[in-house]
Amino acid sequence: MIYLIISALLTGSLFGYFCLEVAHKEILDVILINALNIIVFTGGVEIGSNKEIIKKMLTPKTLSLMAAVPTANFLGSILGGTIVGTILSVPIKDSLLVSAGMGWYSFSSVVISAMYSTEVGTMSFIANVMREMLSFLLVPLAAKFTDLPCVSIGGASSMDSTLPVILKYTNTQIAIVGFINGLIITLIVPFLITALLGI
Amino acid sequence: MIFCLAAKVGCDKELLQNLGTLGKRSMLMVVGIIGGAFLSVTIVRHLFARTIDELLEEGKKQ
Repeated sequence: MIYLIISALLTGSLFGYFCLEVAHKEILDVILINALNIIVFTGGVEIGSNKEIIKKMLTPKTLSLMAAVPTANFLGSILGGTIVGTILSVPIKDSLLVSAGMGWYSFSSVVISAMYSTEVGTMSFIANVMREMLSFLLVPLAAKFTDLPCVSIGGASSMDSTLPVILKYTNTQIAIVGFINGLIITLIVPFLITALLGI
Repeated sequence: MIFCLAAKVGCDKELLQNLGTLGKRSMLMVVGIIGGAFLSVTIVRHLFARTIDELLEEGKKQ
């Protein structure tokens, strides 16, 4: 997956540099928004098909925990990103947008790039791809010292790409919490980014 | 989609000139993002220690 991402990134950059002009951005925006619609639809189907996981989420005992983890993940990510962004003189709105991607680079970078700024969209892409990539390295390391916080590293990717790593280095219960954490984040990110874009 | 996104960045020569700066900023922001998220969920881990330990115990029994 990582190799595919890197290949798409390199070939796309070279194609844009040698074959396209800035005027072609509008056509690319149309393609991006349509591709995004397909991705969101596919994500919805994936979420809806996991009936057993949704049942486990509704258990009263774990319900508050399931709500607390993504809430803390959101607050921590946004606060941490905004603090560092402010130190680096990045405007607060831009820092909030980059942080609010929560590792879902295919969504956040496209929306920010199409609806706000290519520059902030690029920052969002780099930051959120790095979050996913780093999670493959940091989850095994963090799992030596703790369990639950491992699900926070990947953000939204804890329900898909990072889930096998969480499962391997922690246990099934933490992986379920990780899945639900990613699920809730994935549901909230589109609303959060849209709201932030409206500020 | 990533291809189109990269193409959009690639065709913007002005943006490419600033890519180094954007990359450095993004990398540093990721450190803050992951650090903040990890710290917050560590606090949740302590607040819900009993519930989590019970969950882990149930898992061991199964």
